[in-house]
Amino acid sequence: MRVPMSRLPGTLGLAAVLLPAIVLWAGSKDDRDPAAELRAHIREVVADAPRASKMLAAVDEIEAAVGELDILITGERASLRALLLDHGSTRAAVDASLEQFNTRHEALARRCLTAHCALKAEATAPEWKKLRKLELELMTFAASRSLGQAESSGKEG
Amino acid sequence: MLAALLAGFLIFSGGDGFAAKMFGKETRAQVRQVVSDPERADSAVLTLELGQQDLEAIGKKFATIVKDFGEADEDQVAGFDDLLPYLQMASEQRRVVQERSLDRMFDLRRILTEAEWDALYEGIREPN
Repeated sequence: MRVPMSRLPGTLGLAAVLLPAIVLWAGSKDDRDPAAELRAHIREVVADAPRASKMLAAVDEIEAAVGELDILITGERASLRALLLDHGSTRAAVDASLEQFNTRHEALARRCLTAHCALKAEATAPEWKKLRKLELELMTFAASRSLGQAESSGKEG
Repeated sequence: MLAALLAGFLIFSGGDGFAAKMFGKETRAQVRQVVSDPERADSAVLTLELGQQDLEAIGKKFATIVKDFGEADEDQVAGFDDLLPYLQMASEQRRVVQERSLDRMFDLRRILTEAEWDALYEGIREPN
């Protein structure tokens, strides 16, 4: 799955604003590992070890939050499915489930946004110029999958 | 198309466009197969069409937020406090679209028999 570069800013916005999008790369069948690529470039581009370490930690944080989002989303899908297939379920029950989901979702999105900003803040302008595209790709890769724009696994949701 | 995908994403957060499928053309066609009573089928299809319209309208708003976020984020100096409002606006839109979509889904559930609802829902199930 490749997203045209012209669409990257918007897609980064999507990913960084909501960020649960990044989720599905963890379970992707795609061979690419954008997080690993970004880490490799940080090591290559950032000569200052303490700053590089902070930037790598930010990538780790994004990955960790993404993992939690993945679990959250999987759980909520199952919960909603059960509720919607239960003819006795009430709207209030569905609302309560979604409220709980939204609260956790928003907290994780904040964590991702914090990590994104930390990564950006640690980089010098020339470094960021080199790294930004890779971070965009990382975000875009996951967002696209989450949006269902990636190659289909044969089953549609 | 993208608006619908975005809205689907907003509702179920990565659910492969579940909501977009729920209110999409295929589901509307499936209603015609599943619901033998033409009057109820019409009513169900109308509900799905309204759901689709909701998704598209909110998808456009969300796209604007995304665009604004992207522009703000272009500035390397833009930090968490600068970008957080976009996240909050997007979250708000997600809640709006969830509420409206659930309104439609519950309307649809009232129109359909239990067997029809199950058949329709099975047809749009998400991958595990």
